[in-house]
Amino acid sequence: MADVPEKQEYQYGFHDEVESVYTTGKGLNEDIIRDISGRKEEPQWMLDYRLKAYDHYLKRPMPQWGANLNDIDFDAITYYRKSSERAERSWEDVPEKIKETFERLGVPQAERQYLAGSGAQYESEVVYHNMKEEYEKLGIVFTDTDTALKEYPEIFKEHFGTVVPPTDNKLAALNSSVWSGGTFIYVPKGVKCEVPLQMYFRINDEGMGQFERTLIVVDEGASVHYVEGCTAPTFSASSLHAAIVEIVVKKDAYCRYTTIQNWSDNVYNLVTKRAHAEAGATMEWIDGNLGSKITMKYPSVHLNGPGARGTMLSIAMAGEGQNQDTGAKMIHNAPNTSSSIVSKSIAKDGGEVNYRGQVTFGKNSGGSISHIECDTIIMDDKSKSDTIPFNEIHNSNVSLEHEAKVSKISEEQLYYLMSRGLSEETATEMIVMGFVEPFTKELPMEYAVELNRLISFEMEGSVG
Amino acid sequence: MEVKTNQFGVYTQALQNFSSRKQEPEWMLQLRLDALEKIEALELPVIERVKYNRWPLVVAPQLKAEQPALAAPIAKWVKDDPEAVRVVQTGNQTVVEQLPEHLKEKGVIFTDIFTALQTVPELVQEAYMQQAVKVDENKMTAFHTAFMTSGLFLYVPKNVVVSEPFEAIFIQNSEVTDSFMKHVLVLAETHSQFSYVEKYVTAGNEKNAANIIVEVIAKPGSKVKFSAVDQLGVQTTTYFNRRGHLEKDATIDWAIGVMNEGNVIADFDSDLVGDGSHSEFKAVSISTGSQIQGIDTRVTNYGRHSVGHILQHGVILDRATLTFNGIGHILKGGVGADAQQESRILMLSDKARGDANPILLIDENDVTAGHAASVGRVDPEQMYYLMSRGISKEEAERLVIRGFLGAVISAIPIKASRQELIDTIERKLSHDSE
Repeated sequence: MADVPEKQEYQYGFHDEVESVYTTGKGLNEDIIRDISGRKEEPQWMLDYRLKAYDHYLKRPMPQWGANLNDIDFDAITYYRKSSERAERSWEDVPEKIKETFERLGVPQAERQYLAGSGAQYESEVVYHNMKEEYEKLGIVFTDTDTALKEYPEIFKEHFGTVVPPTDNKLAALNSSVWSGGTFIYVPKGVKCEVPLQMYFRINDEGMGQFERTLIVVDEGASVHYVEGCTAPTFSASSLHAAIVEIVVKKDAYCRYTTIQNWSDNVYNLVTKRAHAEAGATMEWIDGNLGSKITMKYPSVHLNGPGARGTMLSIAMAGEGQNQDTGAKMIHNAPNTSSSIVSKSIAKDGGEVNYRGQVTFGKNSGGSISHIECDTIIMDDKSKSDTIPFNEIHNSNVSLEHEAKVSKISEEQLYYLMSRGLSEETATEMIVMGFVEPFTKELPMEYAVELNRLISFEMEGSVG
Repeated sequence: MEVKTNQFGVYTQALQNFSSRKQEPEWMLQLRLDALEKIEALELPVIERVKYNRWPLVVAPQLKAEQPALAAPIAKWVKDDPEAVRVVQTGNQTVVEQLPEHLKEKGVIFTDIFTALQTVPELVQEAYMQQAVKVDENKMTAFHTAFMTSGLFLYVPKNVVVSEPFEAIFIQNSEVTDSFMKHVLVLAETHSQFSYVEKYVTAGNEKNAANIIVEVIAKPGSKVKFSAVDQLGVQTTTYFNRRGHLEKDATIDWAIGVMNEGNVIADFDSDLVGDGSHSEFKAVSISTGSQIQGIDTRVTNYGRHSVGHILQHGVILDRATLTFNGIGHILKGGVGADAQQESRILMLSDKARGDANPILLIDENDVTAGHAASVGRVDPEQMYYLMSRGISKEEAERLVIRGFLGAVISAIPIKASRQELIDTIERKLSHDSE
């Protein structure tokens, strides 16, 4: 084909010179954990919690069942780096250099436009946090997790670590021992937060480990929508992002958690995300994975109360050198619960997209249903895809339907579009856009526009 | 370094004696002894979501000259039919061999594997544990190769089309305690066409291990219809491996009723090696009592434009477990390949466990691959329809389930075997309260 445009560079791959206020240097040991906890002036129970988790982390072998994680050099990673003295409430007060970074990423602009509140985390610490007054008045708490430990110790201690215990997996143990930053949200009973809360995560330095810890508690009958985005500069040394997200959705409450993951292609993104949904509650994960070198992430919903609902809607796109190993878990532990998983994946230029899933119907899950759909397009003969779903059923009065398809771009659709005068490239892009549309239409408008733009960039040069 | 002694080494002499009594060729003994050395170090095959490492599967057989003959009359399982093309084996012995003259004249061989090792050793040597299943794949295949004590050989020469189905009846002798180590080798030469039906049952009630490997080598353009009804007893713990090796434009249609009473792990694979090869795999299974049946069905597309379809229907009662792992694997180079699968499970008890895991591993882009799985109860709409026509609840349920399992029943070529599968289904469904 003539004039195939070059694939656009990763647009967030820039690095800003920002002096750290403090760093623990490379590598990890018990003293560093004590140092982090001490600097954060944490209560004794949190230090004990960290040390116990560290102990488990050391004992636990690296998982070998998924993507190849053996190349991560854990000694070359900086586990804690602070770039600002505190989380500012006013954008004006954020250090100039950091502010520049986020302005380039469009964070303050986003906030002004449509959000109820927004925050930004730079390396290990949250540097900016703001909540619009009208929502603050309703009693909604939206702050960083370190502040929450100080200011809301009771609600924090009640829920922290209850959804994802430190022993859950090796990376969860690591996060539990060195966690820093992350988002804490509490929505009081019956309060509906109409517009999304947004958090922006940025890794700026080479060989950085970001271990944010997010805890969201949506009280009875309340509702919230949280959106996060992530970027990092392009370096030769790999960075590690190992977050834990815990969500408790109480009786009849609603929570939607939207992620647009667009780390640069040198970031290992190994994240444990899990929600507990109580009676009548709804938990929705909207999860887009475009960036990173390797992502291993399987957001889960434990449907613990009767009538609880869980949904997962995801897209994953893997290009050259990328492995998106993602999926979902729905654990039905109560009667009349329902779940739905829709996963759309695209592999191109030698990339690998894998879906791994687990749907379990427990003994007490009578009347529950689950619907699972996994669709994959493999764009070229260098790329590949595995679909590995496990469906485990311990009750007779349930219904599970699972469907998956893997293919190349439909030739019929291409033919149809091209016969109407569209170039192969435009036609391909349209088909891909149509393929991911169920996902993009669930995003806030600004994000949908941005995502379409990203996908369009990714698709450039992929026909030929 | 810790020096590991090979606990299977003690069997060397017994195997040499066994092999010489059976007058095996030298290479066969060597194959056994090489395999014997490998057992210890090899791992058990992974059957996703089934933990069976504590099952008593790796139990060496007695290797006596002859097992005592079966005391029970075989008439219970074998209806006398002089017209049938048939081999019957009880325990380690072949008791019936019926092959019509006109087939012998065409060069068809249908006999005991030890006979074949003497009469057509080169045919056996080329294929036995070489093309479909390999000796050192895992602990169970090595163990099988070392200790195989009975088996069957079927050979259909080039361009020979056989209309009568070949029928094999294997009666495990559990009147004595002895591992059942069975090998079936089916060689379909270029452009041959035939159907083969096998049946496994157990006589007696001793606790035994069974290790069964069935290899079907389908040469270019051959067409094999393979059906089986497995009904091993409650005291038998079984490793089952059926594997098709399909060359260019070959076809194997499988129809298998997995109706055992004891614990079973099974690996049913089709290797679509040749371009344009085609495998249709259909299996039905019922798990009852407290048994566990874990079934891995894999189709691997190596060849261009190869087609592999899997259909599995299962019913689970009581406290039983049934696991269907369907694996469609398209390798690089399998351009134009098609891998489709469907796994459906009916849960009839709240104490049962069912797993339907449809897995796709796709390394090529110009392909079509898909799977569907469902788990649920008996369709209430179908029940309502039948009951509104005056059919009792129990009868309606039975009809719906029989319809659900019907895909395999209709694919079995021998009427008596079809009826037998229906009877087995009825029997397994009727004692659903423990």
